[in-house]
Amino acid sequence: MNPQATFESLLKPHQEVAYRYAFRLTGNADAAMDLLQDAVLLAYKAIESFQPDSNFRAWFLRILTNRFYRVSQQNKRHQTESLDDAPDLYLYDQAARLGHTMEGDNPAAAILDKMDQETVRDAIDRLSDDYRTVAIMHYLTTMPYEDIAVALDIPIGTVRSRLHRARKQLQVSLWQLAVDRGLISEEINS
Amino acid sequence: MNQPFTCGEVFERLQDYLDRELSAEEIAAVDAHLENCTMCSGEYRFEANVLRYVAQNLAEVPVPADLNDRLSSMLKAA
Repeated sequence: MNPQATFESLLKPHQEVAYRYAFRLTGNADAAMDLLQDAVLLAYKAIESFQPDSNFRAWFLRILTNRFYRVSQQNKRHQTESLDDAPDLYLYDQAARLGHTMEGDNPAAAILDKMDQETVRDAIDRLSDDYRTVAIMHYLTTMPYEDIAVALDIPIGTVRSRLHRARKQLQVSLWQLAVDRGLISEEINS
Repeated sequence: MNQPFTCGEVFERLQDYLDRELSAEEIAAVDAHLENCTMCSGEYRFEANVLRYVAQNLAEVPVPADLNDRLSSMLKAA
């Protein structure tokens, strides 16, 4: 098998999730394709540094993420500030306050059914890049913390803390956006 | 046999439990607690619903039908 075919056989199982990840990072299809193509070229040229017995998806997403950070810095979008610690179980508490039952298989349905994809996307976009990359990678790939740590070149403990804080902040943002947009009323018995 | 977890101990582990990042022993201890605690199991199911909802929404990205062809052509030209 020639080098290009070998590389493509490694990439192919991961290219769709990589595109989705790039799309969620950049926010549009053209920028996602540019980012993915840049990352593919960089990875192809650097394939000799890939250890065959290691995780290709994590290795490739690391290249893609680094490329995203590079472009973000050029566009002055890269943000590194830490998040204020949001409360735990924020949506659960809001649902409980409104008197929704927590029984059944989907106790969050009363709230989530009123939200929409745009609200979820905007809530994610409110996170700074360092938290957004962890959250999006986690939600899209379901990779274990260990692999996300490799992909983002950060310690596992940092993956855990960023992910947990991002989730908490995401719940606050989801609620605030849904209320602001009239999707959900904060009034009890509404 | 290990001591069963308290509500507080389950709460501390809830996010890692959702991500299956606990040890097998800890997962078993959380499972055992959730079977017997209505409040914690409600919190767990609610959080699991939210996680699944966000993941499903984020995954709804239309992937270009010619993605593979475009990447392959680009590599060929590289």
